[in-house]
Amino acid sequence: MDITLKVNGRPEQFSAQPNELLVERLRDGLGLTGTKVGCDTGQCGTCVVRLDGRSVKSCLVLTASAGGSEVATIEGETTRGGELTGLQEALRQEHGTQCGFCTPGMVMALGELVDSTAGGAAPTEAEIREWLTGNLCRCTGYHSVVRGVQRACAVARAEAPAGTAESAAVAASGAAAQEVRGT
Amino acid sequence: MILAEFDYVRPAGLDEALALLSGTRGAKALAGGQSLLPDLRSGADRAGLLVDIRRLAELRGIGRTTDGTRLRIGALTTLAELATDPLVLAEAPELAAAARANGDPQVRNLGTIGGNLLAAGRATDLPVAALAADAVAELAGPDGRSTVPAEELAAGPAPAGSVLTALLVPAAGPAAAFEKTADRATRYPVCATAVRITPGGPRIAVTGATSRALRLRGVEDRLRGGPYGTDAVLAAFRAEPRELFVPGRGTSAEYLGHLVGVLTARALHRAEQALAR
Repeated sequence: MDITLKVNGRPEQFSAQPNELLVERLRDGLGLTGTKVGCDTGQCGTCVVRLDGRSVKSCLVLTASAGGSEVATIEGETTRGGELTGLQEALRQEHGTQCGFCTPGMVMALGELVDSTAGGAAPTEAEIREWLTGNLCRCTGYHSVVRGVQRACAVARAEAPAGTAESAAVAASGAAAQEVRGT
Repeated sequence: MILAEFDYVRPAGLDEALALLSGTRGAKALAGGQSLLPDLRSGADRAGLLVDIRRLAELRGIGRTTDGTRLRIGALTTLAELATDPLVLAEAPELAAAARANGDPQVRNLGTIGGNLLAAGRATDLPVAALAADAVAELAGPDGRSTVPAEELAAGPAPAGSVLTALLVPAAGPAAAFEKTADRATRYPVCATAVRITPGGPRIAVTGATSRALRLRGVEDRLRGGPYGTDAVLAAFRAEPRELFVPGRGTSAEYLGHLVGVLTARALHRAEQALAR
């Protein structure tokens, strides 16, 4: 069947079998191998992409069902002049990546949390941990990932016109110093 | 990778979807796909044709019924939408909490209330909230529209060829709550309970610990008039037959009977607190 998709802003047109999964199209059809396959059962979250803005597991979406939608993958995050996004930079600074296999899915999943809370209060530690339930990481123990999100949110608020650099620095150091509980 | 082969069609409207579902052998409705696709992959389920209803606008939307006493929640409302909708949070908080307790953010972004209510053989979280709320499901089938109480829907499969179109939920204000102990790996409930305090007494429903989502009228009768202290609630559950609680992985009937009492006492306490505010 003929399918059109917009992937990272670029229109794509191709033919696909009805039982093809979106993650297979992205990796094997379009060569976007930043999206990983960890478990292929919807558990691990390393295949997370944004579908019409919402984070989804691309191993739990049929390519056919995504037809007509806009898909954003990790490749779209890092092609803005080669610079890391605020979230990526904050994860790097807090050592939120170790082996890195979960990182693309983490970035795409957490990006929705950061975006959806951008206009209001920063997400609490509990909210960040709850948001991470769909992403497995066997290296970090999640603590550094949580600190990365807190840093990204603090920096974003500092850069927003209403905030000040000083309050953001306080928030960032507070976030980093906050005692982290086990997940 | 899904090895099973099937055809795929995206109907333009509900009537076309119903015709395809009742007129095609092995046809199944695909909405969020968060249970169906893993089941097709594992071989737990099979389909000859997937009828993709995910984008049907007529099955979406949350609003009040014209008489104002109930909410009408479209079957394709995602769990993420249900969990954060202001009207649902104000008038059916146990449903919003149950939606939020499901899966993870990505599953909630695609998973729909219809799929959650109809998840055959799985202890999902919404049916128990629908029971406590005394909700009614609206179905469309080859023979027209019908309504089925949530309790009946929880007891057996929906009629073949029919599509759940909406859930009608009595508006209750804040006097309702949901509590859950989740299995760490699967996020399915070891036990989940939903309560609603009504002028006629409490409505109490449980799942996970029992064979399926159940209203527990015996417990409701024992607690009628209150107060809902933890000891009273635990005693009300101890009076239930032990066979009601189905042991699972690492859980005994005794443990489940106690857990369900603790969770229900917590839920009743929160509903009472919300009511007093």
